[in-house]
Amino acid sequence: MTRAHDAAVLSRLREIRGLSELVFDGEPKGTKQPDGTVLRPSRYVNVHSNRGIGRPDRLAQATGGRKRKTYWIHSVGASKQHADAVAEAVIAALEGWSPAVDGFSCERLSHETSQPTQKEETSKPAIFFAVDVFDLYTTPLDPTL
Amino acid sequence: MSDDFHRLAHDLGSVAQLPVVGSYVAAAVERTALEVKDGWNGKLFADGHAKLTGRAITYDMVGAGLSAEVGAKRGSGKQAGVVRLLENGSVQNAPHGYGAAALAEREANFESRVESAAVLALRRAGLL
Repeated sequence: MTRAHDAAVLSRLREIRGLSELVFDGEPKGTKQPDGTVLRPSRYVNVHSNRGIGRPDRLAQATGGRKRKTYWIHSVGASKQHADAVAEAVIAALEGWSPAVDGFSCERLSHETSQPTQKEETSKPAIFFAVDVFDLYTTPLDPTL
Repeated sequence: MSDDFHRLAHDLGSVAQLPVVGSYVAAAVERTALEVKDGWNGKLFADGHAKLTGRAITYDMVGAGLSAEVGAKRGSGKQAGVVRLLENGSVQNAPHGYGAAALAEREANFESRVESAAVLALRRAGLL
């Protein structure tokens, strides 16, 4: 069930102008070089998520099956400015947005954590990345699911 | 921190204006912070890549003790710097979310403690 939510989030991010081919589901794709290394795009978004944990809403008298899914979004760029721009586009796309997933009532995504942009020295060439964490609460319309 | 925790913290902020309630809530916050700290440290130790974090995770009570900050303190443990990398991941590594998991595991206990704190405070005030 959680993959449907992931697909909705990935689809939303792929609507960002200029990033339609540069949003990855946990494993960035690149071009293999003659020396065996993989050259990744100079900017991209990589999405990690968990499978969701049960989290009843204490204020709504514990509706059945409500889960919290967490998304860690890595926004990568060739420079700090690139990474920041990608991260800002990601935040604009996701914050307060509610996915439409068949069979589920999804609440609005909340922006829980924003980690400062950092330089990744181990990549050649060095790249920059920012991490933003979003929570999504979702409840199956059929509580037996 | 989850959305539920934000809402709960907001509610607690209102309730804790009453001094008799505040001390009980502070005790619930501190005990939960201690558990989250221990849980996070435990997960780091169980991770093969972070055994040298030692006791890197610490907690500080903030304000009047009605909120707590739990996290890696610079200089505490040989791998304190690795904690953030493990928590949120990097270009080369997926996030592990140990801190978030440690917090989630204690949410129910925390809510239960706050309920107990409210009952104790009401009894002490002669309202129950």
